[in-house]
Amino acid sequence: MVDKKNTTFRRRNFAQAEQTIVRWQKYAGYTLLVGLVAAGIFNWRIELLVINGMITAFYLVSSVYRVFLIDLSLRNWQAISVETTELNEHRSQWPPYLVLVPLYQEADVLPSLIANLRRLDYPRDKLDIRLLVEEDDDETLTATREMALEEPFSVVVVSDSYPKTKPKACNVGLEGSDARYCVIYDAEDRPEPDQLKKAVLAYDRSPEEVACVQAKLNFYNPDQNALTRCFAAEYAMWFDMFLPGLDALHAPIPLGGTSNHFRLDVLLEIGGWDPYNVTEDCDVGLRMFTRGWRTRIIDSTTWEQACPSLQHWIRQRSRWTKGFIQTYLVHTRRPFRQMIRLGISNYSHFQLVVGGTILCQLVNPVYWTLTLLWFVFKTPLIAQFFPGAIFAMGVVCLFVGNFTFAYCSAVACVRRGLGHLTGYGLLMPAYWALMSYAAWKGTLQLIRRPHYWEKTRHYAADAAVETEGIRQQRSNREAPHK
Amino acid sequence: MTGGMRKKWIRKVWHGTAHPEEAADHEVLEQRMKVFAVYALLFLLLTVVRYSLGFSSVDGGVLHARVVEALLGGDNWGRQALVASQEFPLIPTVTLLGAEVVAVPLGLTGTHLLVAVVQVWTLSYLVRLTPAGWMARLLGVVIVGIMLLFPFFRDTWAVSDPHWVVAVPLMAMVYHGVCWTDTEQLRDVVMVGVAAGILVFCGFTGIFLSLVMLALFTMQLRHSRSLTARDIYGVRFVLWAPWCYCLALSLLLSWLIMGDPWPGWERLVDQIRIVSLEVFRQECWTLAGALSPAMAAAAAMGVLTVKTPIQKMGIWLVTGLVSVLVTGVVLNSVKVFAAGFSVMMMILGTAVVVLIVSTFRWEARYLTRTVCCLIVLGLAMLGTAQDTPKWEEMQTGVLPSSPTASRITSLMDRFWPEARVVVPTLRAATIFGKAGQDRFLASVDFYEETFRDRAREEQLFLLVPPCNGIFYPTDNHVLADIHRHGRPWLMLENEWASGWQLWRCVLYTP
Repeated sequence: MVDKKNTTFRRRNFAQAEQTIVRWQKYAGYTLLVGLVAAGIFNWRIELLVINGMITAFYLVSSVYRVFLIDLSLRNWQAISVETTELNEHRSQWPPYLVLVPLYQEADVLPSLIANLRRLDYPRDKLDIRLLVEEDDDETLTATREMALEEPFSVVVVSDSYPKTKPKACNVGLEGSDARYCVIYDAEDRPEPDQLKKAVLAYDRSPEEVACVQAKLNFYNPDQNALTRCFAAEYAMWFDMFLPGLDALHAPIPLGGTSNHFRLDVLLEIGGWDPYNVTEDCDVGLRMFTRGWRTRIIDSTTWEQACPSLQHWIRQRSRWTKGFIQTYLVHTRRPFRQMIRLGISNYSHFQLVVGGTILCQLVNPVYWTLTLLWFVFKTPLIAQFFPGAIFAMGVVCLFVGNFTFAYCSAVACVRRGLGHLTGYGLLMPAYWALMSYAAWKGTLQLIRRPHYWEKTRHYAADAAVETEGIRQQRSNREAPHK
Repeated sequence: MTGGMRKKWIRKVWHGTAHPEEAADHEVLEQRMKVFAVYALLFLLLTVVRYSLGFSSVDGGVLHARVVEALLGGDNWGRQALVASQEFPLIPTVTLLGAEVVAVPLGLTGTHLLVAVVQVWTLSYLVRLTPAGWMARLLGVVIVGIMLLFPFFRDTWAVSDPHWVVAVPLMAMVYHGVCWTDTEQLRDVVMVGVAAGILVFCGFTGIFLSLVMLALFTMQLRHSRSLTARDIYGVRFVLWAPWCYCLALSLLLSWLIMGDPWPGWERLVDQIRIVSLEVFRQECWTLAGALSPAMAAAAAMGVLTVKTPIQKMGIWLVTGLVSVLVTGVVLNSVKVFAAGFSVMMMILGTAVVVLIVSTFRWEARYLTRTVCCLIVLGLAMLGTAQDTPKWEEMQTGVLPSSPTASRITSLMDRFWPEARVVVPTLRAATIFGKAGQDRFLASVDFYEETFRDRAREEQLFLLVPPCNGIFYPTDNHVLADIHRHGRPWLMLENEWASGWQLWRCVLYTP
């Protein structure tokens, strides 16, 4: 057992979310606020009209952009695909691989986690699986001791220090490794057994500048309840349609929370993860791109557990929004330098993907309320803020945009092999309302507890019922390894 | 700055400094952009050529342009016409609106520009229906050229009618349907579904055509090579969701603006109720007779696809063609203008021929069938050359004669110079909607109660269009009843030989 208790946490060589906003951002915020108040005093109607026009136009652009990405992924599928039969033909030697599994209060799921990791098809002598357990998590620590784990498993105890986040644990887990590649899995993950080999072959086929290979994520329990069904549909859209679209454009890709296979030397060079960022995955993806490295998508799936509890789902989702805002603020600290490094094209992608996601989630409830008020009361006060062109854009966003995204969720389900969930695409508007609620919660939490990690509760296998169809899919893909 | 330096600078500005300037993906993206630019230029060139070839005007196009004018002018009847009419439906109107916005500053005609763009777009789809390769594509162009020798097709190709817009979703549906049978890519199913959804906003012909073609396509999914039973459920949903949503949305929009979701449909139902079986049969016979050679040719070609790789698609397209013909003939027989009928006939007919002839020609074993197709096509052409009916003339008149606005106002001005006149129905609104907004109150709908309430507050006239089935049904309709029997609170001021009536309301007491 490797004890990292005394490891001190070092400051890293990149902009971190330790400080949520820097001085100029604070002053810019104040200036904007004062400007808005002053403009409101001068003529609040025109002010609201202008703001409404800008937001509606952004909505429209953002919607068209997303549809464009989805269409690209449908017509131009560029994920790196490695056939199972190719795995042992191309390589006899496999490079050392580091697998990091941050754990916190995961004693329940530990047995199934170990079983899933044992099924990884990779030479044992090349594998280093590190379970990163928090120092104060006695339950998980005890559980790991009781399991008497043998090689390639080891337990790394992460000292109890601020911030208490997953990226901090992962940074600790990196120390002392001589592996060539590194991947993170969550406690409930069920990666396809050949995923590590596929990632290595994907690197072999990719240019030198590729430093991360992201596997696709989806859920093994989508049919547990309506929430997990919608969650699965959303994940299918994000990982099977949206990210491949970005990949096709060679744009910066916000990584998923797990199953990102890094080149370890590059990960160390860029300083590892930002321990203060609660969506460190998104941040590291952008930072790698800014430093000249690229991410590709690989056609291999890690099956996760969709959070079946609304309460815990909101906690998870609010953390994601909080992290997206942190990431956005960190990467706009030097906006001009960032724009020069990324170029107009990639900077626009960043604004639309990261900024657009946050803005849409936060602003959606306002527009839904306005729409409802207008439908029920036909209030002229609302109508005056939607003249001509703004009204036309608003109508397109309302009637075309909303349906398009719900429909795309259904299409993504078909693509993912979850055809029976397509009907739940119609429920997506209700799901978006929950997302907006969580987004506001995360935004407010950013002000009060910026580095607080809202832990996602994972359930033991018997509590998270695996969907029969998914089991079949997994079995089919894993068949050669049985 | 030299060319090379400028290129480097542009790359830096666009792609940023973080990635090497010579990165392979930059090259790939730029290569794609170049290909795209070439196609865009070709498209532009063909559009200019088509625009400069000229157009023939039709009443439907003129009427549509007036609806768009009303929309741009912010007139309420324009908004009503946008959602409440299945004869001048939403998609052609909205696209014409867009075309006008672009065309007017350039000094062009919106309708002409729209039709030119759509025809080039359609041509690109038709050409891509052929097997891959330059020769096959060239053959596609030649076949389209041959099809234009049909008088009906040539006339349709020449008209300046915004209903041409239906050609794009229709060809998208056909093209992606054909692609699906070949590659079974999910995107093709999505495009078929979305195109069918858009056709819902293209009038009754579009609705019924998309319904038939979707149903047949769904049935053919059973023969898919790649779909499991679980997938088929999802694919069905993907196919039908846009169609159902668009239908529901069209009703919702109508309800929001008109306060009634069914006005477009009510017109059809009313017309069907009043038509006599004898007249209907006679009309159907005349209309169908005019297109029989082309239809017979299409059916014969459909038969020739049996036991070939394009059998399924041949049946699909010919069934679509038959459904358009039936819908168009029935609608016109009951005096409901079948929006986009001739365009759909032409597009489907051409698509059938292009697909079949080009595919057969490309496979030597189908030489006999190729010859048969050409003979059938030649016979059909001879058949239509004997008698060249103008389909537009046979359709219900859309822009009938009317008294002048000045004549009407002069009648009112004799004793009531402040009075205004209510002009109900869509076609009447297009005639008088711009005749002086302060005097003519155009409205697509007409409610007696609302009219009377208003007439108590100001002196109102009512201009009732002729009761000939063009403006409103000749029976079971409030305007037909007023036209025949009047009302106790209306006094007939004038009646023109064309059937227009000007009534004065006597409810107002100053």
